[in-house]
Amino acid sequence: MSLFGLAKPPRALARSWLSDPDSVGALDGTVRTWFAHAHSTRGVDARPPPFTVDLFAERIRRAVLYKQWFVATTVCALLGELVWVASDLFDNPRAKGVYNIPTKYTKRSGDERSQLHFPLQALRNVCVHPGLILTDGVEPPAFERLIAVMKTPSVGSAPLAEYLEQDWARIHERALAAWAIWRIDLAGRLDLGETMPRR
Amino acid sequence: MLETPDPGDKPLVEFFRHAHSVQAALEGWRLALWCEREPAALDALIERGGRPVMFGWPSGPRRPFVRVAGISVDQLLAHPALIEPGQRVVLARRELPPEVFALLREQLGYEPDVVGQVLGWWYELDEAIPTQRPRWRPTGGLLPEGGRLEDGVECLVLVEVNDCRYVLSERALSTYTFGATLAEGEELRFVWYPDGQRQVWTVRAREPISPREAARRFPAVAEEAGANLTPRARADARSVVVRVARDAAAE
Repeated sequence: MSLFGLAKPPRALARSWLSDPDSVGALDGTVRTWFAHAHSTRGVDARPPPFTVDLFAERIRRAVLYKQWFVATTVCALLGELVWVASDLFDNPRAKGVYNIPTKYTKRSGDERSQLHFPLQALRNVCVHPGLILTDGVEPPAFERLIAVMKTPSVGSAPLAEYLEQDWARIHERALAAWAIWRIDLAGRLDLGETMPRR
Repeated sequence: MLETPDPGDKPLVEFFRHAHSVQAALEGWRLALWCEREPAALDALIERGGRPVMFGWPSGPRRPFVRVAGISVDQLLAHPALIEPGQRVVLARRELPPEVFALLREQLGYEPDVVGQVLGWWYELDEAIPTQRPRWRPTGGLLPEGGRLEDGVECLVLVEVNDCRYVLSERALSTYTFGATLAEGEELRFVWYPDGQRQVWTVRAREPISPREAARRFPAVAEEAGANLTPRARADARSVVVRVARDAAAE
């Protein structure tokens, strides 16, 4: 089956920061610091977050190893949310702790970080709201939003989006896992900044 | 788990927040030092381009305004007097040259590592262990009681968070892949390569110990990390302890 130009998940994973222990450790430490600081400035118990970059990266690696494609896809989306939320809590005292990219960011064409997280947010809505398939008249169903985001020029995944559009159940397939790994790799590389070695 | 600056110290909090942000990583910040006032002679050295070494200080009475200025690593090494007693290390990336860490150690007592630590790599029992030293940074650290890694010795577990090593607490145990295995009562392998020779140790978790007992049995953790912002071990949670046994058959 075609992967629409994407690398196979094991290969995409091997090339990504998720397979580089230095990079996983660096982002894990950064996210821990963001949470700890958000906790201390809010005066709440500074417990470490129960979900961490280290654990999510391991879950993705195991899911790919056992070809559990939807699990890999979902955990990629959750990992994106974890990193974004930690950063948001760190930067913004009013942040709530959910994957909520403010509109002002998404309208700023120069904000590459928001642009990279926007597809992961759309993917997260599909994965963690499995019953959200009807429109409420205001917002489109999560699938339609994901497909629309995939078709945007900055994401550039129109063929895969059209494939998903024909049958939403294709979210379980290997191609979507390959896409999710590609997207979390891009987002993570930006979050890691220049500290990440190029592979 | 690490702690962060006193929230009431707003200028330092602002500086800390920026130094650990994505933006700072993209701007190339590698070392961030918090000063009580602008360091003398800094003004003449400020660079317009890359600025891996950043100084921050409060700007007068109208807190929490912060002023920052950056220089290159070479400039810092050429003007070591820029580092003065009283400054605090907010960020010190491991990729900085050893000379910078030597300077921070001499001038500020900053020490990202723990005296007596043994650094290695964690492996599950069913994982293949490489014969050569992995090229990536160690994934684990142990602090043996008595200073030597020997059969039957109990150790504290060290983790690296933002380029500094801390004692793993009971609260954070399950937030690491290796920790989740230990928390389930399973054994793990800890591998290190003293003098290029591979040594494999089997590790099993023991009952965690109180901060007071940790300080008594492992004096190195009671010593603070110099000018760093945080103590080595949490005061509000028990420290994880493991027992090690040499696994010669796996070597």
